[in-house]
Amino acid sequence: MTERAISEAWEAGKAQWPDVQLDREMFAVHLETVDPTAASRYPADLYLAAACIARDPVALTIFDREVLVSARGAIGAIDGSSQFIDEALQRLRTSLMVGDGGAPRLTMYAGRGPLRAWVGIAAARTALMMRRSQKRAREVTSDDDWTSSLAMISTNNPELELLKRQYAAAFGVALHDAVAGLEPRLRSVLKMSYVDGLSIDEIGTIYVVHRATAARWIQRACDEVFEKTRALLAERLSLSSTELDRMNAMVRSQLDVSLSQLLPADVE
Amino acid sequence: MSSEAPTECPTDDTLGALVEHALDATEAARVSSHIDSCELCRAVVVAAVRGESKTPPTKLAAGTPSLPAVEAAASAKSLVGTRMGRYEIRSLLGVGGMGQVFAAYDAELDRSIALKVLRPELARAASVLAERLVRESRLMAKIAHPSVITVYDVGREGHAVFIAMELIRGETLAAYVARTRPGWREIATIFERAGQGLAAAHDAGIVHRDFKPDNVLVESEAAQVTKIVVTDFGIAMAAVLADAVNEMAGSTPESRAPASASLARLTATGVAIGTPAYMAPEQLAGGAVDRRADVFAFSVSLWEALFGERPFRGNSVEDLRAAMKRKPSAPRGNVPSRIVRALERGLAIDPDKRWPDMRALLRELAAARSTRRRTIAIASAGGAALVGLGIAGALVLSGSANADPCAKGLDGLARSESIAREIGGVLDAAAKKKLDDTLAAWRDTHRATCSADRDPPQALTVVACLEARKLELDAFLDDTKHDGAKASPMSRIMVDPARCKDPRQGLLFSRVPADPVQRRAATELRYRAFDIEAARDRSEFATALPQAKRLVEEAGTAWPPVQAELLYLLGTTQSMGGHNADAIVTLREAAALGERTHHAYIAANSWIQLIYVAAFDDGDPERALEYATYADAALDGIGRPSDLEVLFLYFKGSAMVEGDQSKDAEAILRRAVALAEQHAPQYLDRATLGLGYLFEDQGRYADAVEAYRRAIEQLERSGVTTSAHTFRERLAINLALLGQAVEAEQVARDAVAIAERSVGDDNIDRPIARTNLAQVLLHVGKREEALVEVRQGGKLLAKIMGERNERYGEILSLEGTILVEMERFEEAAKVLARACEIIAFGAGDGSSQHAECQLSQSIALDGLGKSREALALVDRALETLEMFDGEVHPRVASAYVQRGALRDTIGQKAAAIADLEKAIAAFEQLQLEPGHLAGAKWALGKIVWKTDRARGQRLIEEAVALFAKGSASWAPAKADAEEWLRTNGRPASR
Repeated sequence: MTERAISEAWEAGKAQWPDVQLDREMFAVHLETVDPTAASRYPADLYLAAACIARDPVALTIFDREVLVSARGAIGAIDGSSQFIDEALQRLRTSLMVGDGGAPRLTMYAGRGPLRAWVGIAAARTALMMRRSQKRAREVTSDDDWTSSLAMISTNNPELELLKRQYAAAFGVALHDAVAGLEPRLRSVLKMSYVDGLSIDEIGTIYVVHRATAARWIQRACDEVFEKTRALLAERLSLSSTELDRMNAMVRSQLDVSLSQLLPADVE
Repeated sequence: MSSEAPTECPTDDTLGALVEHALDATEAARVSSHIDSCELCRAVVVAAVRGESKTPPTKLAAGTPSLPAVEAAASAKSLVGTRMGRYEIRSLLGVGGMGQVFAAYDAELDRSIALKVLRPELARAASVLAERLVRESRLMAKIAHPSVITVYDVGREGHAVFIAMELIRGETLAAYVARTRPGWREIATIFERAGQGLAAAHDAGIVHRDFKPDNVLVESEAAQVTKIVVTDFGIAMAAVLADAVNEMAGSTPESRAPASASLARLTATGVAIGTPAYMAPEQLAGGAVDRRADVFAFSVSLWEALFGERPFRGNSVEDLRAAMKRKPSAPRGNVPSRIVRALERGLAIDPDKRWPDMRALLRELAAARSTRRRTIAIASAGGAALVGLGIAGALVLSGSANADPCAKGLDGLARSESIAREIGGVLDAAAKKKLDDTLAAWRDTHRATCSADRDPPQALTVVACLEARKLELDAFLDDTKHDGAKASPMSRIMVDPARCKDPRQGLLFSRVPADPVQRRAATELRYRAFDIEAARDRSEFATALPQAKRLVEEAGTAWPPVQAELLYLLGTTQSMGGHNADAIVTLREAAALGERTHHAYIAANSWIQLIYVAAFDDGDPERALEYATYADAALDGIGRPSDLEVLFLYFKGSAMVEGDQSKDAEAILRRAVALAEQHAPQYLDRATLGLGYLFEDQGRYADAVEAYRRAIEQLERSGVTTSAHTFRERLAINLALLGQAVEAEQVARDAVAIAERSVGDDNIDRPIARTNLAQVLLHVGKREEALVEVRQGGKLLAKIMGERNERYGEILSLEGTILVEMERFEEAAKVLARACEIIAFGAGDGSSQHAECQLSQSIALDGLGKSREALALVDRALETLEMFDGEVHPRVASAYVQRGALRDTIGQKAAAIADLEKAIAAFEQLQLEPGHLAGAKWALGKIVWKTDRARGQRLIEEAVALFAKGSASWAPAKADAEEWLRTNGRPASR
């Protein structure tokens, strides 16, 4: 790492955070550790991170006030109760500043993106782990289970709706199989849309594509899933007569078709 | 996007960079792929991204049951008072699975609309659904049809998608039918309108796939249906109604109409999913679906509305499939078999065997529904065949079983004769003679029967029969004494007492139980029946009907033949009182019981009555002819008495005319007339009318004139004065059609005078006579007077029957026609528009009456210069008329002339020529007033003139010659033609 790179970063940081005090040597070491090739385009953020690790009070205040904000959002996306948010925030802060038995997590930030974004990711991770450890009933724990939520979507297709009502179990199985047969991208996008409740814009953001592309993906995913489901059902229902007999005895189920029931299901 | 093995999870740093779009393309792609297969990373990224977004999602904890409808409504209420696009949301109408529907106000166009809003969370999470919704709305917006819900606008507001639609303040068709329980005719009319909406959608390439009575909305005002709209084309729950709101307010599915409760259609959030019972079998199998699936669903819906149950029943797809293996069977009822057959075809399991499209089915339904009634038809025709029932007869045997029937002797006769002398002054000569003859015949027969060498058993029945006749006689005498000459004509019917001499016939009039106790009971019942019968004949149904019902109930354990008689009484009372459905059921019972108890007389009368009720009141000529075969057999059993035979022939012949078997009908009706002249003058009027209508239908006006003239003579001779005005009206019209103007007018005026004299103020015979006079005046060219008369007639009729009935529409139509002749096109168009609307509603959109009105309307439009509109109307009208009349019929031919002229105006020369040539060919075949043929030739001549001078000239010359032979009303046309020849023609090519 060149002297010049360090100086540039230093200047950028001071310009952005004039009140923050940081030892130049300490900064240089930190910089060389996390970003040896000086590829980061966010030197000021690195500066702030380093200052926090060095426990500069001004830096810490700024961090709490401006950076942790995005953490609230990300945590709230997993569980909106203020209790949870507060607790997760607490854990996050501790983890960032003090570490979980190792170095402070903040040292992992390498400046590839803005600090705020990185903190958001870290917060999400923290919150998810908290969730997992809380062992709630009826969590969607694996890839498989979320398809049963998908079953609740109204397909806007009367024939399929009919089959869904009459043969709920078989429908669930067929749906699961149909989803499993999707390409990973489509499956992922489908889940984001229906289960996570992301908008097209947001999905576009994640995959760095135009919202129209994201919309097309979702459409395609839906179409493929329901087509496959219908085909599977048609095939299976006429094959297995014992299955049919059992279904005849089944009471009409009243599957709810409200999408809002899906939203925002807990996701592990 | 290949499916690789999951790679190692990227660092948080990398992920952070990803969502900030700070990674280069290659790396971003790699990370994206990883996210596709790594649940944890995906979750993390998702959470982070959501955390960044401005609109916080509404979160539910895992395991929360879906929002109950009420909560959804509560959250929706918050939208009330806000704006969505340019619409101000006013109130919540209902909630569906796909969104809420609000009543909203569009300030820009100043109207209320229905606004369907896709719930914000939904739009966010499933924008694909939103896209779909928008796409379907666009399709819907392409259809402009009164029976398809109109989509005004589609738009987005933030995350929400909204659709602006027509606002319907009403209820579902299912609810309407359950609430009002209309008759089959109205149900068919309403469904036809909905079906037209479906057809329009098919034209635009849209298949509904979910047609059912819940998806049809009905707006009605004061028991009149004003709007029928099909909604929800592939969109769950479009415009919503009181129905849905009520359900969410707590009523259970079971409290609704039984047929809909059997398959619970609503889920907790009030969403209706496609109900399997309406789905076509190919739909259930998940196969390809085209417009014929809608035909199936429509047929199921109409079947359910008509019969109260679905054609295929089952609680699961399997049950339904099994039920579909068998043909559906319609429950017994009034619905004409033609309609049932049309629906059976609509319900064919194989789509290739079904109606190919909605229009084919609708045409069939329209044809089945319309009855062919005359324009300005004959008035009130409570037509029960009331030969003296002789019910109360025979039971005058009182006293011990061995009493001598002749013991009573001629005691009662003296009283009758004295009353007869009293009322002699009131009756006209013919009637008086009849009365005297009858009394004499009675006396003679009695004497002959009770002579010294009589045969006791025979004497019994003959005397019993005579007693019955005497009761009838006395009833007539009392009636006339009471009401004077205006007494009900029915009571003037008197069976010849001499008939009692025939043992077989005597038996028929006097069934008597052997047991004296039973005999007394039967006597009591019959006496009471006789009073009820008299009340019925005076049209006092308010008393007669409940009394008749009660009598039948009380007679539950009585002697069966008497029961049959009482049932017959009830049935005829119901029929005359207008309760056709009940009448049919009762009369069938009477016939059956009559057959079983060998009361052949009652059986025969019941079957004969049924012919009438089925053909005319129920519009089912096929069933009527079925009854005719039974009546025929029963008549054989009683030796075919002439009076019943005449009625039988008249009813059967008329039923055949209704059922389009006119050729065979003529022979039958002629026989009826001949027989009536000889033996049953009291039915001569009916028989003649039957024959006359037949001739008029076929355009054989000369034959009709002859028949009516003859009838008038006959009736005068025999002293029966009923229908005197009626015959004159029909005679006048036919004379006018034949061009005999002066006589026609005279006879028509006579008819009006007679009607005023002989019927009461509230009898529609009077306005009808006036209207017929107007028609005659029109034919003879006296338009101003015709206008006066028709308006007078209309006013009178409206006073009696109100303005919403078909007859009033026909009178208005005539007024419009007169105005057209007077070239007052503006007024005419208005009047005719109203007339056609009323007629369409009464007689049906596809009825011949409506078609005729449309023809008149089109002339008015053409007069106003709206030739294209006029042509469109004539096209529709012709389609209908051809269906009813075939190509060679006066009114069809006239319509061709009309259309030919219009087509020429628009520039469709070749088509115009084709039409006119058809018209000419038809007129040449028919024996009409020559002016019609002249008019057609004149019109054609003008058109071909430009391309074929010689032919044109020839045609017009022929036309002029024919005009000269025609009636006065063609004079202007003749003048035009002559003028044309003068200015354009070559010198006469002779």
